[in-house]
Amino acid sequence: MKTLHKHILVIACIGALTACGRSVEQQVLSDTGQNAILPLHETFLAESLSLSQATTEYCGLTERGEQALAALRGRWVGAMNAWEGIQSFQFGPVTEDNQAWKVQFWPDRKNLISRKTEQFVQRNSAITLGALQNASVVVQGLSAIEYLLYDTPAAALSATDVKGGDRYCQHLQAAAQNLHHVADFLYSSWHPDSGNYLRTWAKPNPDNLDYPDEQASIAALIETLVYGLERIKRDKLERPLALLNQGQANTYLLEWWRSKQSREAILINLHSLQLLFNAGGGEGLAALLEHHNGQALADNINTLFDRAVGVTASIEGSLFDNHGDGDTQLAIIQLHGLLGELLGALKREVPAKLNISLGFNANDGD
Amino acid sequence: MRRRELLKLGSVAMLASTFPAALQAANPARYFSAASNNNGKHFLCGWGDGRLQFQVPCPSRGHDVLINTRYHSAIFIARRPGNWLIAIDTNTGEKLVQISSEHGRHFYGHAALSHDERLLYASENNYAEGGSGVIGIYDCADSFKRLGEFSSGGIGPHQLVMLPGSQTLVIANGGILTLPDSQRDKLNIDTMQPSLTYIDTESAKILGQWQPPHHQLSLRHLDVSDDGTVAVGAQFEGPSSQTHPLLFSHKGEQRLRPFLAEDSDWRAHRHYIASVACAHGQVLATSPRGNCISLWQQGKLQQRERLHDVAGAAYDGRRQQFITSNGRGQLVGLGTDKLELAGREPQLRWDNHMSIAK
Repeated sequence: MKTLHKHILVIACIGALTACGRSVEQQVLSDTGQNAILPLHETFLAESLSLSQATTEYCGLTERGEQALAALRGRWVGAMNAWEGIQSFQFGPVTEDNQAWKVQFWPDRKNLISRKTEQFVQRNSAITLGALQNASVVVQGLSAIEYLLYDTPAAALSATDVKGGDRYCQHLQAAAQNLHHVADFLYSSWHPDSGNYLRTWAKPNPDNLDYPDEQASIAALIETLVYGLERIKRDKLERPLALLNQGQANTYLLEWWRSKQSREAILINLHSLQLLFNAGGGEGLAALLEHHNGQALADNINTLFDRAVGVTASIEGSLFDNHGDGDTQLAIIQLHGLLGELLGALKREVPAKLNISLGFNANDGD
Repeated sequence: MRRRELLKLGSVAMLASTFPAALQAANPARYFSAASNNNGKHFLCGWGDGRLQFQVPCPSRGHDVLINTRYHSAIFIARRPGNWLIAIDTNTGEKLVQISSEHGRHFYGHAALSHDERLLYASENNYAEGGSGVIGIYDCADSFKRLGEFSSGGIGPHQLVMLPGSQTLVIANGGILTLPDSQRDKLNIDTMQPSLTYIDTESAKILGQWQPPHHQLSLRHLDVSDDGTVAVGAQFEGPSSQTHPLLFSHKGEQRLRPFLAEDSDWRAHRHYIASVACAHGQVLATSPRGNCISLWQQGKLQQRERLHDVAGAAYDGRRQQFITSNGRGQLVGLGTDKLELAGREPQLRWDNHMSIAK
């Protein structure tokens, strides 16, 4: 009954919007931008600032200790979670100039993060923001900070004799500051008062190279959902946990294995992708599907998202430690299946229903 | 001789399907590409003077197109595992001739012209005998009569080009075995052996053969600069978590020389190069999976731009810039520091390759 009311409301809104001269597609783009994209980027901006401030505070302490380190780790988790909210974006500022790499270097098959971070810290010259920005992306972002806070440097960072951890602290501060700069670039690039990529995306026109028409803007949104889900299924589950073959799991390929936050990252991914699908409670892709007689499909996708979130939340402990446990294995297999169903719906059924093409040459393989 | 050849082509044209004379353009088409529309129909297109000059229906998706200035024709080759080759008049869009591949062979989507533009060499799959790669030889002056074939030196020959000032053909043998019964399924990913192969077209002898550093880097698309340096693009078939250079140059060295870029730049290409074009010492590569265009000079990355589903690439001498095409019907030039829209046909999706008349 509740669902019926929601549908009636959506149809009424769509009718009213059309009467006002704004197409359903325009409303979908506007609502998704205002209710989902901007808030997700704003959260990353706020959390990165919080982390940067916390590192400055931490490194200024005369006695650091385990408790202060735990608090700083908490701020890192906040920033990492906020990044997971926008990690899947396949359009907009995050795709420019290696921004995503500046934030996260993963997967790291060759353990470059450890090697390059140590090299960066142990060199003779001063560790400054400028030096960090001129160095490899490997030492710049959340991945490097995770190494500093959770791997070998953590002992030096929290030691009673703070001098031993000074170089690490300088790196920590520069990396957190740089992360905040990237987050600021991303947010301001989207924001109407600055770069206004929101307008570029939500107001397509034939001279707009990225979005010559509304179909292109909506396709970008669907591609982000597809990419985000594929990334979870393939890179965050199948590959590290050897789901599709008889090989051994390699938990060092899990995302955020050092901090054991792999499960949480998947949870945030799913939440933010569902938020995008529903335009944060506004008129999103779900409403557009309803407009195209795809109400059942929209409901099914939301149900699958809900189930995937539920299964992920039910996993106890970390994937790094518990991936081999019976209950965890069962949940991972369930989650994997649900992701497959979601991908099927978003890759095939949604584009067909909306008469949208998700790429032509990209699917070619020739 | 030339007149007789032209008459022969003309007689074929009369037998072939005709095209409305009204579409004989005052400003002939200069950009040629296969395309498809949203309804799944496929066309061979000529575009110029800011608009579509003609679109000729074709049986299935086309792949590459060559411009034969000697016979004023654009030669389109079917995408693998297609079996048609169609030549159309570059001025009118009139279909001049259509042939089918030899029994037991299908086209791989690419071909090259001899320097005098009389002969055409097409990469083909000899699936009747297990899928070995062959190069079919055709006479452009005689309704594309098949004159013979020679081995490509590997499995899955894809793009091929004549080296300047010689009779040598350079072929990207992709190494991937496919057979028509299994459509486009890749049957030998674990054992594939791609190569860049040089063959003397007069003797059909292999002059040299070079392997990429990883056996799953399928060499597929290439171009050659005026000085004979070959630039070849790869598609990586191995684990997607690995990162490898996807472009190589070669000119007489003992190995393929990888282009130099950060891992993050290579990852941006998503393991996939769709087209390679050389001009004025620069190399342009497109990646529809990475939605990016990269420009290289002396093997180093100069510029990277984002463009959705970009695949086709060619140099436009009149505009003095590289032009690319994509699945959104856009034709986009690479300016010095940004992309420039050259044209758009929203009802069409430009297919993998394009050629531009001088």
